[in-house]
Amino acid sequence: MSVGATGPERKLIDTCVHCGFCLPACPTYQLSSNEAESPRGRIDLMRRYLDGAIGLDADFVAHIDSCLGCMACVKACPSGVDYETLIVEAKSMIHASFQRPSRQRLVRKVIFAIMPYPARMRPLARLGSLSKRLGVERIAKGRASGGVAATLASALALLPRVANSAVPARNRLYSASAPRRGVVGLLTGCVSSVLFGSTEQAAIDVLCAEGFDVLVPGGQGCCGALAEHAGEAPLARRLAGALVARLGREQVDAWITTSAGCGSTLKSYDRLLPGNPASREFSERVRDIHEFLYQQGLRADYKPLGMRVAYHPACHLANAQGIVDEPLALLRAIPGCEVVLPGQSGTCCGSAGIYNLVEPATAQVLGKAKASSIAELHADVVATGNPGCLLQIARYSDPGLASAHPVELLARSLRASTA
Amino acid sequence: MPIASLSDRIAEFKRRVVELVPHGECIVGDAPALSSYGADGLIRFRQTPEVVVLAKSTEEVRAVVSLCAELGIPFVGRGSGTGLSGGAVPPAHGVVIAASAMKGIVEIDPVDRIAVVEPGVANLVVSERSAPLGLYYAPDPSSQSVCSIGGNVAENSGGAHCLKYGFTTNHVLAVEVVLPDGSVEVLGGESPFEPGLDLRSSFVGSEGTLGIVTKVWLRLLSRPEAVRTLVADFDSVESAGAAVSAIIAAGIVPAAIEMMDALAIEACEKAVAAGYSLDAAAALIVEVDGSQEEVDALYEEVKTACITCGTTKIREAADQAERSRIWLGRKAAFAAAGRLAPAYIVQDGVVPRTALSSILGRIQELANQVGLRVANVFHAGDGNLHPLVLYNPDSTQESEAAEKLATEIVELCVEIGGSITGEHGVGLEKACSMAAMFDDGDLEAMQRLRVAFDSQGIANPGKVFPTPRLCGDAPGRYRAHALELSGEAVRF
Ligand SMILES: Cc1cc2nc3c(=O)[nH]c(=O)nc-3n(C[C@H](O)[C@H](O)[C@H](O)COP(=O)(O)OP(=O)(O)OC[C@H]3O[C@@H](n4cnc5c(N)ncnc54)[C@H](O)[C@@H]3O)c2cc1C
Ligand code: SF4
Ligand code: SF4
Repeated sequence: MSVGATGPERKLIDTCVHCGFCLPACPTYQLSSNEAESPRGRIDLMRRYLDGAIGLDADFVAHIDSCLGCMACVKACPSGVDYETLIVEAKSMIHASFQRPSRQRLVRKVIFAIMPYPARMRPLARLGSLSKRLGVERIAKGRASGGVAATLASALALLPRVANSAVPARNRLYSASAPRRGVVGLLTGCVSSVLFGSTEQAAIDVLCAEGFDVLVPGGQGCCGALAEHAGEAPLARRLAGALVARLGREQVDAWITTSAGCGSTLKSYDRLLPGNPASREFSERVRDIHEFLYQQGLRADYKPLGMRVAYHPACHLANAQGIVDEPLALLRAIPGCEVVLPGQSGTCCGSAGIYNLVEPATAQVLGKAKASSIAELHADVVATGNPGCLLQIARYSDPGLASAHPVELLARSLRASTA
Repeated sequence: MPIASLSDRIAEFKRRVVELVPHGECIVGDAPALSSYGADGLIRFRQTPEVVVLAKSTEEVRAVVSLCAELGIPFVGRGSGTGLSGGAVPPAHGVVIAASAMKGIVEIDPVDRIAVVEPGVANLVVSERSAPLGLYYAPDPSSQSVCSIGGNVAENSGGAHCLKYGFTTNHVLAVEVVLPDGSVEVLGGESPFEPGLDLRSSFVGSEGTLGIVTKVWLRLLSRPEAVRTLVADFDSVESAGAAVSAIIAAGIVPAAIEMMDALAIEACEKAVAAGYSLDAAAALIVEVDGSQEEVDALYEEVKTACITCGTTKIREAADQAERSRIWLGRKAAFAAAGRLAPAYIVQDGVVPRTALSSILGRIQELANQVGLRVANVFHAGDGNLHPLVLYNPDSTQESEAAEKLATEIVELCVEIGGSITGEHGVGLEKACSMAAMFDDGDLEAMQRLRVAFDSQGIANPGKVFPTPRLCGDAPGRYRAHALELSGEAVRF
């Protein structure tokens, strides 16, 4: 299957039997009660477009844009509809054939000129933490949607209060610190490598302690997930192609990612680069870190951490990759760690790639709802396996609530002294 | 009737409706969204509405219906759009009044065991919200996680557990409705017996043709003390059918008896991996509930009946999780058929319970004649069957053959003394088949009731009743079946 300008495939659309079982799972339908903001409705729009009954107009685009890409509908669908491919195809078609209003175009241009490139993200991150201290983020308030200034303000508001710790050195092979079980490569990504150095460090620490050599190649760019999910297929293809070219020849047992959003795209490069054996071979080796550690089995000595952890299942982990139990099992492997899930735990937090930048109003409603259901748990820390969710939840939570990737808690437990 | 032209009236409607819905939403100019309201769960019928109103209150519904009445514009109520007879397909140049945004639970009274709910609330949500009080809402359509209470009332929906507990109508104490002239009435009352004509029960099952439901008083039940569930495999549909008859003949009223044939088992298993045996020709799901003692005794009797009829394997749900899994599989059946073929028609007919296994053979014959596959799921205890006619929509010939087969199947049901619908309603799809069941006098009597509520004919017109436009000039006349004439079978 190739993602391009031709639009959603009729064959995939036809697997939808219009039963509506996906409606209760869809956050945008739950908020709007509008059929056109539901999975069934969006698939129907695609069908009607292919039938020539409706055109590719601003209303059509708005209903597709408002989809979070959270894939809760995929999990709910008894008919096995491949909505993930459909929505990517619809968004790519819009990108290729629809002239967005100039403001929207500019906003997207700015986002995709900065986010996929760590060298450009870094100064923004510094600005972000500075603006937090200066209170600039208040600009974001009262500007629910609109131009570049509002987007920038939303972006700044999302950035962490404290610029995260330094990133681990690149082009290094970190050696296993326990009997050797293999060698893996760490995918560093774009946003995550700027903002979440501590997650990378933790992944390296845990993998080494579990007996894996960890290769961290330098010069890795963005994997293209953000672009793919937003329908920017040409950019996504370029980024994916570059990554495969850069890493394809490295001899590792598996490529590990700590980002759920990246993982779902990294595992399906075939969609972006069809018929390319190198990209398929690469995709087959990609593992989410939870998935990998769980499959291999934990052997290291995890010491007690008395804490209550609220776990938020990232959509791209639970729905898009079906990784549901693994993170819980890993967290529960830490002695003294109590893991709790918020109510409505399957509902998206509103982060959804660049969604919180381009659809801030819905993102805010979902973000606040998620933060308050997490607050009710009175946890010491909120853990989730996706950088975007960590930022989004932190933005709407009490500043006192710590947040971490589950692998950071594993690393902390390794370091803890035996009580 | 207003005299202005239809297009002028519609234009005026569009101008004025927006102000009548201050809290809800009016979809007027958004062509893609309007188009998405063109069909319900049955995608074969479609008509794009002029306007969709997502109302937030009875007052908003009242104001919009009044405007429809004033301007003579037809409207249709809509819940979650899971209906399977085209009931929520908008009339031409019509308005959709959707209750999907009215999904609150107004009150749950644990003492009188009554839930007062808005019409858009999903069936399952009522049970979930009453669960902490040890209560639940009994009617359980397979679509219960999605379908709305308003839609259930309109369709008098049933479900697996209606065998023991009855259909929607047995659980609705009262409804608040907006009648087609814009007046608001409450029909029925909080006590199960109300003096006077029972208008509530004419509203339940009226498929949106008498007005819009805006609030519902539901009867809740206490969770049974104990529940046991088994899945029994059989190597033929006949022996599974015989087991159903044996269970009923023993005087047992299980909470549910469901039957699936091999193709249906395959589809469900693909969708949810419920642990059904893929090598069985048919399977029964039987559930008994009540006090522990009663349940244990009934369970043994059911098991014996299955064994006597030659079951090849019995699996009992070990716990609630396994029970849920078993039901999830069964409830996914329709949509799961999408995994067997790119398109299918869900048929809904009723036959006398004793005719269950013979009709399956007849259906198979009809299907073989035209080379189509049919998967079957049944509410076996009620004799309510749902054949799923699988076909490829890309082939016009196959699509036509499938439609024809589906119609032949319901007509077969009538022929052997059954009915054209068990729970999915008549809607658009079966309006023409009504004449196969009722004679002119019956239909006229129903029309008179309808006109008493809706003198202008603006509430969901074109549904339920056969019209010449829909069915051609000479709808087939109902002829009593020989069994009926001889008194061996009763029509219901
Ligand atoms: C997979 C699947 C399984 C199903 N299983 C079952 C089953 O086991 N048993 C069963 O009985 N049905 C079943 N159905 C059919 C369907 O779910 C029911 O008919 C249900 O009651 C429809 O509810 P809805 O909210 O979706 O109504 P809709 O489809 O929106 O409307 C159905 C009818 O009700 C009218 N209506 C809706 N809301 C209102 C209102 N507020 N006021 C007045 N009229 C209104 C509409 O005009 C229309 O005529 C199934 C459907 C699917 C897709
Ligand atoms: S991906 Fe999420 S937001 Fe989009 S249709 Fe599916 S459930 Fe709704
Ligand atoms: S649940 Fe699946 S088949 Fe049913 S309407 Fe949604 S996408 Fe279509």
